[in-house]
Amino acid sequence: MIRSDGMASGPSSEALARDTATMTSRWIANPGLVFGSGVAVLLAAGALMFSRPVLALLAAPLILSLARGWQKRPHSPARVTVTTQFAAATTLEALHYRTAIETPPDADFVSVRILARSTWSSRFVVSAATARNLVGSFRIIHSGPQEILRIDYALISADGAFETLPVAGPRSRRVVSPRTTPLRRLPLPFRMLGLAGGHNSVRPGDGGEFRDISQFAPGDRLRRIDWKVTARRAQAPGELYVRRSFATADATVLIVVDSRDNVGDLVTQWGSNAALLEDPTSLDFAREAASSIASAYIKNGDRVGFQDLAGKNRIIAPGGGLHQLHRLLPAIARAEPVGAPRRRLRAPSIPAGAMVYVISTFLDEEATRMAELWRASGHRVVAIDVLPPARTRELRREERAALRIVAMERFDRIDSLRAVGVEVVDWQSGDGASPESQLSVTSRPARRPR
Amino acid sequence: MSIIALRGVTAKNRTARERRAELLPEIGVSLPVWLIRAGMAVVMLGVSLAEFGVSTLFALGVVGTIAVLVFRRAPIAWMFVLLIAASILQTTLTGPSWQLAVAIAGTHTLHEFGVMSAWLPERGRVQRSVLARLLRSWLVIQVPVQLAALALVVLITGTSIATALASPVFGVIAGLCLVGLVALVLVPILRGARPN
Repeated sequence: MIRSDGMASGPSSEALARDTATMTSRWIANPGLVFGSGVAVLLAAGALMFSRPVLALLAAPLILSLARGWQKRPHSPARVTVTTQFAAATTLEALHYRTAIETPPDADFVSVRILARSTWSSRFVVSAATARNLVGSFRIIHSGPQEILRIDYALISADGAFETLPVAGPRSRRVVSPRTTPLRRLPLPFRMLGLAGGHNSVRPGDGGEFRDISQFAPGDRLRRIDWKVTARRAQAPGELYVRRSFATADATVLIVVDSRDNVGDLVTQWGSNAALLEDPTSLDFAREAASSIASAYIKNGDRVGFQDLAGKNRIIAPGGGLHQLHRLLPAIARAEPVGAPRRRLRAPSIPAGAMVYVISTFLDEEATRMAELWRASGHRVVAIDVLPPARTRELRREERAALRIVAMERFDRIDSLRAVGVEVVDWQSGDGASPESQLSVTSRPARRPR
Repeated sequence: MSIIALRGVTAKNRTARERRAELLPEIGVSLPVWLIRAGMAVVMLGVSLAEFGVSTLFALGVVGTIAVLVFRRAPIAWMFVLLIAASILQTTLTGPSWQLAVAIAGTHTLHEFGVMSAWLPERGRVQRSVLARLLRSWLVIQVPVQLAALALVVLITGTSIATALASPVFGVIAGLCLVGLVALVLVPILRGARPN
């Protein structure tokens, strides 16, 4: 039996944290020692019984091998420290790791099992010296919180005569940041209520585009007097004209991610653990869309907030600046389904005049209902559809029929959104229109629908 | 916290072998486990043929070989050793013979393979240095045992030293022992001479 004790410490505060576990394992004899000893005794007995020294010659290498193994046997329990460290990725796709398995001097070899992303595993046997520095890399497909690497090991001593039972090493859990797509042109809210920013508002004020020319009134700044216009238009002494401009304002944007479901392109796997899928899932696209939109708006000087439909505690109030972006991106990366999806009684309240992005698969009514409610209360709403194109080749006939019904219901929902004035963007569009180009189209100046 | 930006390439068409290969760290030259098992089967077949000829025991040896491949943890290697012993009991020793040398080497090899089967993973790879170390241990025991066996057989059967030294068996054994000894001496020296 094996006894493992010790503590496995989680990620430290460093960005590229190490996962370390120290465990003590007891050595056990290889069953081959018992079988080999039995056969050697039988051969030696046979040599005596039948007066055939040749049998003793056959037993000799076995006895010597067993004696050598016994002589080199480990005398104290094996205390092993496993440390896994991740390096910064040199590309967007590869995660480089370095694992050090510090073994006692008794150990000759280490049998290692590396489990990546809970799905891929690789087994190998290396010398104890090699096990002190295992370097490798693999691709990460999904964003979000996940167990990315686990190292299990067993020690082998005395040329295989003694071993430890397999020990589960440290589990490296990380939050993998989604990819961010640069978005240049983005739609703006119908009304901008901010007091300063990069966009023109409808209020008169400083900083924006030219509005009109008006007679000087108390409160106007002297530097706004347009002397040329005054010279042309003034009818009486003391009559002055000033150039008035629009005030600037920032947009308030709320990104709502529907993380209640996470499905991939393989329809037969809908409802199962999406982390095991080999292709990006709807939540991967949702995180990517949310991160891209948040980064682009913050870069434009706007205020961005975040809300996760899966949990009531996952709310970040709108704010601007890099500090806000550093709050938003981890929150977006952590969005994941929690428990069974629940129905909200009313739509979450959002700031007046805010623009809302609803990012969802629209496989159920909840996100659609929220989007329609927000649109009805006068907000500009953009729905981003993140359902990956479905792979239907593996489906049976009845599954195809079920998928067709689900797809029709989804189509109706998206159609009803369009009908009430919600703009719909397909993040994984199959017709070649990139999300950027679709958002660019929606960003064109348009009249507010009545 | 967040470490790596991602998005993986689609892995739709990648086989399990490709995934395992991607995940394998840099361990230098390594052999797949199936090749080691195949080696064990080849040794068993070779020893069967050498010791039993084409006979009923050889058929048992073939069955044992298949069983070794199917039941990886069963003590079939040691049962096979008993089969070799039973075969040797039926023969009369008249002098140094290559069959005896093969039987001793085969018995030892099968024992080591059997011990190895307990800790070898079902699938995976084994670093070359691990196998080299096991081979060195095998040679350390095998070389003196073969020489001692030859000497003992010469003594028991009353074969003259001249006849024994002139026999092809002695030549083969002595040649193998020489190669083994050279390997045992040179490998650690060459390894120590490397910069790292």
